[in-house]
Amino acid sequence: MPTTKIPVDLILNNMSKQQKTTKKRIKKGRELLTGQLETELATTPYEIVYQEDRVRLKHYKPENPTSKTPLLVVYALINRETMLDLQPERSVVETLLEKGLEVYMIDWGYPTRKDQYQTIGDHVNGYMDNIVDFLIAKTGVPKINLMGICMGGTFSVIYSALHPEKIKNLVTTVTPTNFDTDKGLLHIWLKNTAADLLGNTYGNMPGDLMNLGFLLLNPARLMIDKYVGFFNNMDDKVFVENFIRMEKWIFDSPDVPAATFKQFINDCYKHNLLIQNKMEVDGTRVDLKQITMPLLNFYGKYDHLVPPEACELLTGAVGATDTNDICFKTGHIGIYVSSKCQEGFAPKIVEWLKERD
Amino acid sequence: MTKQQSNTDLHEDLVSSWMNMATSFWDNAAKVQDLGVVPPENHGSEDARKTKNNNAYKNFETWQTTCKNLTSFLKLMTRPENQESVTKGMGSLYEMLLQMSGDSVEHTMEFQEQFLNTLTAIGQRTKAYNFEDIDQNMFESFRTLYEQEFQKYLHIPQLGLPRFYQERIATLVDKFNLFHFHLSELGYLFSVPIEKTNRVMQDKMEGMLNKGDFFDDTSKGYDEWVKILEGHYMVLLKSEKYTTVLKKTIDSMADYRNARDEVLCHVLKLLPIPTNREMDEVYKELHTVKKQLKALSKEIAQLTGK
Repeated sequence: MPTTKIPVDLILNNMSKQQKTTKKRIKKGRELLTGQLETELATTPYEIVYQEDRVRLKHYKPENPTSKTPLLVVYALINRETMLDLQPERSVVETLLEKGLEVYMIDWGYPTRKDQYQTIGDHVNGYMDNIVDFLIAKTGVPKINLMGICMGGTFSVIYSALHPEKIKNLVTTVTPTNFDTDKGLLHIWLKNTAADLLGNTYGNMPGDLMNLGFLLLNPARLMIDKYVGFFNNMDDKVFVENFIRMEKWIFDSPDVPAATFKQFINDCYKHNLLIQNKMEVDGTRVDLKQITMPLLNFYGKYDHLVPPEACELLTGAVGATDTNDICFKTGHIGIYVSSKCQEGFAPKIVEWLKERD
Repeated sequence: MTKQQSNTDLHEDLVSSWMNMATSFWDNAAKVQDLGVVPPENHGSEDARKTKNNNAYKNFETWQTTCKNLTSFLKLMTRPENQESVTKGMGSLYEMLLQMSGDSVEHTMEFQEQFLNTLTAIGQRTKAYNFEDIDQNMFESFRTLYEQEFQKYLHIPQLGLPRFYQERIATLVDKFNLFHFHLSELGYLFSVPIEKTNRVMQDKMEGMLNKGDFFDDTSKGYDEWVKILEGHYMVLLKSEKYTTVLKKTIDSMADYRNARDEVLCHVLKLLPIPTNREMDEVYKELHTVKKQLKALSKEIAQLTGK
């Protein structure tokens, strides 16, 4: 019988070293966590220029404006728009301002029980249209540039189809428009979700419940490995600060108004009406062929929430001829916060808009 | 004498003896003056009659009337002309009880058998990246036992003035139970990838040790473990089994919440606090009015050119 030799001495030696390193790390980590940490989000200065109910409009002013058409950014109702300004040097807002764009961003606020009857129409034809009218009146331009993120991108697509005369250029980022795909777990689960029952039961769809659903998309990484990573780097101040910022952002999840949640799940995830030009908003059919303004469409190759299959049909479905698809080799959030996307994302938007200003 | 006749006679004897004994007991119980409770007119002053003793005597009178009624009822049943129907009735009751306990024992045995099978299976090897052979029989058996043997008692039609309250409480208990069955099943499904990953890692380590090799750094072992765990979860989360259990859990959670809110709404009705349902009606009206007002304001602004 062959005998084998296990390097026990090497293993024990490594374990001993690791134990010492861990002890040091915990000591430093404790000092760090009990000391002063810079974990503020959204530190770029802004001014609130418009408010309607819970919805506010943030205005970010560039030092040297170079574009005459303002850019309105529409974030999703899930999580908050602070993700675009998560931390200095990794802030989409900061880059847009540096390049001279006049940026306005919708803050949807925190819906309460009284907002449960607000539909997609109330958001698109109500709040968004009022804000666009306000911007057109304020800046004196006939049309504005519109940029949508995730569900906010879907809202922007609907808005541009219903009010094309007010939009000069449309930018969509990680925006689902084709929901008939089984590539993402979210698409599989939401097709089986009793949206009406949940909406009627909860009033508004609780943000925490949705966050739990997102965590369950990859429990090994999001519920175990992430925190093991934090433990392994708890002596690194920059890492800890960035980690806490991200945690603050991820778990800052407003509830979604029940009527909007129900309509989004039923019309989009279950029946995929938008891409087929069959979806109705406030009684009007949304015809994507009405989107004739230039369209720039970004998505992530490894996005597990909104897979490429959910995004890439849009440019072929609209009426515009000036369209462009850009796929980054990253995930849903990486497109905005990863260091490798910082050069290719926001500067590309500015360049593309300026060419069409 | 046939066996059936013999059984019938035995029932009749037993029932008659029990009836006589019960009649005698309740007859004696009705004569409780000996226990010291006497009518108020025979006991002390007018004031005392109006207060403490009066109440005691009222209770005594109720007790005595009940006992007398029961005695009369039992005497009526022991008359020779009623003997036959009483015996038949008792026979049916006996059969019903036997049937009920038989069913319950059968289901309990079935559940225990499944449970034992599951316990036996714990020590057996599980296949990596395969979630089709998950032993969920235990949950199914337990749920079936509940649905067939217990749930029906919560669905018994309630009678009388408080019947709506009783129905709501029974529904709440039922929905709570169903939600927890599904939640337990989901929790179990969620624990399976960890079990499978640990087995894969054990095999892997065994293979490495046989070759005289091992992780020289614990973080390498962890990286391998989390990678396999992620793979197992990806397979599980996409499976139809998981999707079905997840849907049932979410739906039953919503049902439980609705049942709970229903009970709370009725409790709140007793207090000067508006319920969610009442507030929702106000919110809906407010939403409609605001929408109309905004549309009108826009139209006026367009007409006046402002």
